Amino acid sequence: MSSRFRRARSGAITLTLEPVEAAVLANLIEQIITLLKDGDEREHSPAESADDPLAAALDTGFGLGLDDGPVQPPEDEVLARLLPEGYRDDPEASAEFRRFTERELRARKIAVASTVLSTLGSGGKITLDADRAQAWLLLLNDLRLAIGTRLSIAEDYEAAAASLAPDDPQVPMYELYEWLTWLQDSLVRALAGDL
Amino acid sequence: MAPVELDQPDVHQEVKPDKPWVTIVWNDPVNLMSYVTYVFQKHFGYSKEKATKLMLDVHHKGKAVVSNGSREEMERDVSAMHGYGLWATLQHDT
Repeated sequence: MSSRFRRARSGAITLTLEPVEAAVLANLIEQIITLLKDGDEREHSPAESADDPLAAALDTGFGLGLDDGPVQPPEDEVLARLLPEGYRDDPEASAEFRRFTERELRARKIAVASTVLSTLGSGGKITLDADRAQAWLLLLNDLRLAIGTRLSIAEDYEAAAASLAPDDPQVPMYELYEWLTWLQDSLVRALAGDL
Repeated sequence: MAPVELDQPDVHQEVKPDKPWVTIVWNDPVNLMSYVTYVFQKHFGYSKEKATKLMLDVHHKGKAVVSNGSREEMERDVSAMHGYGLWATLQHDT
């Protein structure tokens, strides 16, 4: 797989994909959309507020629907990486930050993934305007974060990947990760001329 | 971060926060150096040199203060960084 993004003389960003590459990307995008949508149905109230009527009332915005966003980080490690904490050592402030921002962040990421899916087609040449190219950039990063988290990618992951037996089930995941890295880096380079 | 390509800039100025809240971007092994630099340019409007300096601070020191301002402004920056997939937090500048 050696497809990469290029900048046309018109300024448009182009990418030519093999049918199998488009199919692989479509499958990954559908998976990440499902992940971002499914996890949104989890319990929103922290367990510790159950015995505290005031906290429970605040948690439901006194029935006004002011803030019904989640306060706890997602249990799934990939979702937790895609929707991180807003504060490092302050769980209370992190909960408030998440309550007001996580839903919108999820919606943005789903919209970005859906935009890419709508441009993908089934292979061949794709021509992207600036907004759609930006969506591709963010989506490729989210896919790399997702796969990198599942693989527990570290700075020196190449050594770990090289030490795997050829038939190790993680080998195709590493190859996918490196292909997405290559694609994303080619897109950053194609877009950097706009800055 | 993953070092796809590394240009060494000759830049030494620091971001000096003079407001009470800061946005910090933390190092992570997935985000590409080229991408992190691009995001700092695109979102904050920083020059290539300043964005590259901040990216290298994240990469080598583990973190960098990338903006400062009111708490509300920093929450917006952190949320924007999360939209880009960067690992960012805000805190009161001490």
